[in-house]
Amino acid sequence: MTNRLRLMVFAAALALAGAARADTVRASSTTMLLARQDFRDGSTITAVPVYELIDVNASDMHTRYADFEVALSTWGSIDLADKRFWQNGASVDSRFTGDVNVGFVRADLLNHALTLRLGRQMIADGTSRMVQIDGAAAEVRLPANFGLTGYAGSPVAPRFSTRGGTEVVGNLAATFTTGGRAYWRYPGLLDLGASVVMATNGGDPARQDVGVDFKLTPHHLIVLTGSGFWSLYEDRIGEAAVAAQVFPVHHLDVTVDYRHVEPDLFLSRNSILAVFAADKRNDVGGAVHYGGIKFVSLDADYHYLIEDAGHGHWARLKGTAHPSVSSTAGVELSYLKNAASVDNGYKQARLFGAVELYKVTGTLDLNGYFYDGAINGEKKSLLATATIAYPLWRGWRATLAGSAGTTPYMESQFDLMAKLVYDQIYAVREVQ
Amino acid sequence: MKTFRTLMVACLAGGLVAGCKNARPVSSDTHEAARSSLFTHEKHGGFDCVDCHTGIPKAQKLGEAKLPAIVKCEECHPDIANPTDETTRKAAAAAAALGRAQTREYQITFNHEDHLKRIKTKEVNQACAWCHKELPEAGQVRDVTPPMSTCTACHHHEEDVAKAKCAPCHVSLRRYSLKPIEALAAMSHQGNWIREHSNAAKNGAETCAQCHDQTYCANCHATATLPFRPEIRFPENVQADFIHRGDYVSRHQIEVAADPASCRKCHGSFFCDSCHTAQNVSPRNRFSGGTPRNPHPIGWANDTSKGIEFHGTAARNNIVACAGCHDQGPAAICVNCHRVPGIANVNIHPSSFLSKHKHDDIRHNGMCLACHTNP
Repeated sequence: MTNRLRLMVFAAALALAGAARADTVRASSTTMLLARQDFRDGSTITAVPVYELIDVNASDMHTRYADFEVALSTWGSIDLADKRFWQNGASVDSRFTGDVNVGFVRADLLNHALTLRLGRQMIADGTSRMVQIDGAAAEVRLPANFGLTGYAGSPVAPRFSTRGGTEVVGNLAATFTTGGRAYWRYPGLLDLGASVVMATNGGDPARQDVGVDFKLTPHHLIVLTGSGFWSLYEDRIGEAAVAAQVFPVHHLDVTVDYRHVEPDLFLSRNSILAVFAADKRNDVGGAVHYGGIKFVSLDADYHYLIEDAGHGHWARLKGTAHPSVSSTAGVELSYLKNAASVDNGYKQARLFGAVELYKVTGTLDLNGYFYDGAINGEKKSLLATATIAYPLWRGWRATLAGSAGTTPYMESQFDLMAKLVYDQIYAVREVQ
Repeated sequence: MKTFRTLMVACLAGGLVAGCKNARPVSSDTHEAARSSLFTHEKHGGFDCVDCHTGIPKAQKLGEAKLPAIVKCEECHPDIANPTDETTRKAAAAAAALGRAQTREYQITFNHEDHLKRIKTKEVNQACAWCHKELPEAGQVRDVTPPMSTCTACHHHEEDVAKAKCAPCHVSLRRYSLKPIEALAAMSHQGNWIREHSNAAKNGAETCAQCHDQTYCANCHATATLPFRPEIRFPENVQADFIHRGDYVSRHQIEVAADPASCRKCHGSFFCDSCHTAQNVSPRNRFSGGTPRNPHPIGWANDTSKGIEFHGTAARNNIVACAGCHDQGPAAICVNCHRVPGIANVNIHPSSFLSKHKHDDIRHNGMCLACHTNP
């Protein structure tokens, strides 16, 4: 553990040292004090954690042989109250805790024909499903617009605890994963990719999937995208999605999409629950965005949900107005009806706004959910959140937030947050 | 240990010294931002642009040709240095303001000299107006910088856009808080972007990386390590389409019923079970000596006539919801009854599973042995 900590600190030191020589450095520090009420087995507790979150990214670091990027996103916290704040699923016994979200060094070599990345990172390519790993990734750009990407590593466990097993918080229950994607593109018209993911959990299979993805741009105002994966372990399709995005007139964006998904294939193949079901779901619908009215933008979204238990609906309308450069007001309405009546549904109404006066920015968010069936004996959830923010000096900004409301689990709920943020981008040289 | 400390301090000190020497904060006041002016271009319409902007025809970089100074105004307004009437006083103030104009950050590299040579027009003003459709006017805030569509009207950059090759026209896009480009469908973030952005990232992560570094993605996607959801960190972002805004805890069971796969794209079983254990509704409490509350309706265990309220039917319909409490490997509650041989003496595997997996597969997946105790 001590060695691991030393390595982490050393990596942070290297990141800072590297950052200073980069052409573009983004440095961000967020100090947060929270006082939040939580529901624990019929009683209300109050947790008061303090967080320090640090992000540093240094890019455009040019040398004769390679261009480098160093990224570090890390945080630490202390719980001031006796009750612990729920740490997003991680088991935390101590009042002190912390973690590293991202920490890697990236090198672009051979005139950007080869890219290597080493450290804690996110993998987004193909059917990798944005997995967070400790490992290495590479991309080779081949002639004729072909390319290959590949990665190998261990899916991240929170707070440096044991990986894999039955206490996995992240999206892949595995101790080791590897994968890659081969692609070809016809610039401006077609991106075509085929990917593979393999993962094992303590030697047992966790994922064995192959995927395809494409992006077709027949006109600069029309984009067709699609992706899907096939489970080699189960010999059936896990997900297939296609979408068409069109800009028929200026300021109007129309998206139509269809998705087929078999949710059980998102469980690890060595989960005890992976052998019980093979349910299929489909949804079809679309979204419209219109920004052609002066100071106003409108969004509408509807999806028809199809599953074995029946049909459901998901819909949303959102209007946002900008009466002046420094003010925003909006309204949002949404509706969800699940296919199975036992699965409940809701209607939502939300009003929000933001205004800046004398450098002070205030926001208000009134959010109400009205449930079709009672949850914990209640059929509504009402929450109001207000924030006030003030820019201090040279990239520093202070924010206070408070929320109050009544929910199915808490008759009255009050939360407070104070935040001090430093966010600044530094330029060392003009990037050419 | 001493060597390590020395090395660490040296790295930090070297980095900080080098950084302090060269780095300068990038102003958030970019050249492309809408701005007001004290100068009236309309009233000076009788002149050629280059009569005042004398350096522009030879300018090879943005910012190289300075705005006209007060001496240029004095060529026509000799009394501007010592104004005697209100009109001249305003003109003097406008001219003085030009000299005090703040330094703005340029987001693109642009060569005026090269472009002016290539635009074939009879009048120089027409050449300028080719790109500069709007000019600053006194008392009006105007978005006067030519949009990117002006560039792409002549320069076809499909290949560069496809390769996410924004340089050398753009300086590093990570330096600025840029808006997504409506004119380029591939870079638009409109519509239901929360839903669609995964498709964009699957084959365009390199394009995303032009503006967003991974520390940005990690704010939402580093689900194994984040201490809380982004809505808690950014309550002031009232316009953002956050997935878990407001009282998500109460409605999470409704959302997971509508789209269980979406939940699993970020969250593992223990993410759910950890909170359910704190609420005392997970069987995991049993292992620490607690007695969990049973959240299921009467007849859940063995009344097959209850349809979706019978555990078998519910599991077939949404097994991901079961995983929120029962994904505990060999210790899962399912094993108690479905062990072979066991009290629930039925084959629980769906037909697709049986057609793919032969009995011999039991030896290749350790989890099978939890139920098939006699392989």
